[in-house]
Amino acid sequence: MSRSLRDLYPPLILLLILGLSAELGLDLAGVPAYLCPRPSEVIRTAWRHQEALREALGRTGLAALTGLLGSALGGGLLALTLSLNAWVRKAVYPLMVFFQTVPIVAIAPMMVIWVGYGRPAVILSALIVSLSPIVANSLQGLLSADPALVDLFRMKRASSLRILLKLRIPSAIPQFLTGLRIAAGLSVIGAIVGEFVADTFDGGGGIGTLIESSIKEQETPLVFAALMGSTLLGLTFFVAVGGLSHLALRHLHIAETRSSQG
Amino acid sequence: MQPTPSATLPPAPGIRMQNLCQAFDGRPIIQDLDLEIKPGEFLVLLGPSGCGKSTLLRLIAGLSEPVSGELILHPSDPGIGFVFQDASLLPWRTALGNVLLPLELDGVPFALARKEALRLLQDVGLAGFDGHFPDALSGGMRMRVSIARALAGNPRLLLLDEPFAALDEVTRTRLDQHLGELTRSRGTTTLFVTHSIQEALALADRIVVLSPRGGQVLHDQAVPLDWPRTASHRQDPAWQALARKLTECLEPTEVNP
Repeated sequence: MSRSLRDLYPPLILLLILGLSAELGLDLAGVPAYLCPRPSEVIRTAWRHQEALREALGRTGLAALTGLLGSALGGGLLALTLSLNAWVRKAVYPLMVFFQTVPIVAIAPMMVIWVGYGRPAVILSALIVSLSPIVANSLQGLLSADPALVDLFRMKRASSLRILLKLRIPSAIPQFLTGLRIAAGLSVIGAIVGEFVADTFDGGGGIGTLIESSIKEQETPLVFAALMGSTLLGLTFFVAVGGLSHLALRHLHIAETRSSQG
Repeated sequence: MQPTPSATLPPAPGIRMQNLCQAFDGRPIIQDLDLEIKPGEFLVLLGPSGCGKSTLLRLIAGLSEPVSGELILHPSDPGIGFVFQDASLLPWRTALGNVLLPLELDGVPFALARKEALRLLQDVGLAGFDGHFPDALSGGMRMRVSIARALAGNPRLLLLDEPFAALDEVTRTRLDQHLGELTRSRGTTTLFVTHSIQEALALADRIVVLSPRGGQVLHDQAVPLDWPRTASHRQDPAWQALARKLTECLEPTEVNP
């Protein structure tokens, strides 16, 4: 059995123990299902509403993926721009940090004003939330190319563009992918928050919309089932991007790096 | 090994330094250094950490400007190869790709560059390893690639900053031997920085000991030992006498015996 499969056992066993404890504990305490449903009830509800859940997860997943791709492209280009000029970097970077500290819930209503209700606002929310780790990590990668190699390029009188293309960008790939891995999970959170604030049921809502409507209708087991689904979606994003980045780095013979953030 | 014969190459440069000064954040690293290096000479710079050896190599390479003084290379643009403390290879390029890099930056046509890179890999004992990526090579092999890369484009001045410090003794001795043969067959002017007296004696035509502070010449020692110098030569009385003399010069600073 492979190591990665063996690594799955401890969290799965813990999850099983927690689930059984909750099942028994809630039964013994006599907590009603509308306050906190038993895990078995959540699973039954998820099974009953599987089609609605699947569709909602698909829509949220698509919005998160679009936002993630947008932030990968936009964040990568922004990091590239910041890396080229120290003055611009010093001017823009503090603003980025400031922007990052503003909660997405506070910005989300503004997005409704900017792009209106619906999927564009959801995608924008996913993009904004996932942008920062990509910029921070990519910038760190672009600026931390091996100084000896930078010297080598300088001795050959290579232009800044040549150094960027042949050295800095390839050197930054591991950090960019680390940022992308963190951003993957965040993009799902961003999409769900966006759905809370800006989504409508026109053409079907996402998982955030489903959670919100279930809360209003006091369908607590469905709220929990949707939460379970969104967790699985976030995990799938994280694992998928992690796997892709692992394959890319192995193909490029580059060692994986730790993140500068998260 | 079939190194390039020196007859086909342009002349190696001589270097003259006069009252050379360098400082960082107001702290003097090199003060009034006077030193002359003959064309084709293999000069080893010996001295404790922080005495300005690496700073001097960077000044000669044109990677930094001196605060004051004169540094003249003649001819002025000899083509410079630099070997760093770490192999510093591009991990996403094969051994061949790494050796090709300086040739690409010089604009050498690919077919010609490839031929030269393959020959250089052969010169450093890595024939057949051209398709290997750095992560599949040992530390010694990576350093050989780094030397081949520094020799690409036939630089007439080679600067090496403690290149073998991280390697085991056996690999280090073998690489010293190869490097000595390569530079002598090409007639390259070579500056080699090390902390090791034995390594200095194994390689140098001349050894310059720098003072612990201020980077001045503490001792200038010609090494009239026959070439090639193998490990067995270390028992020769002439070798041991030179080693003792250099050790005395370096005391009380710490060096590897």
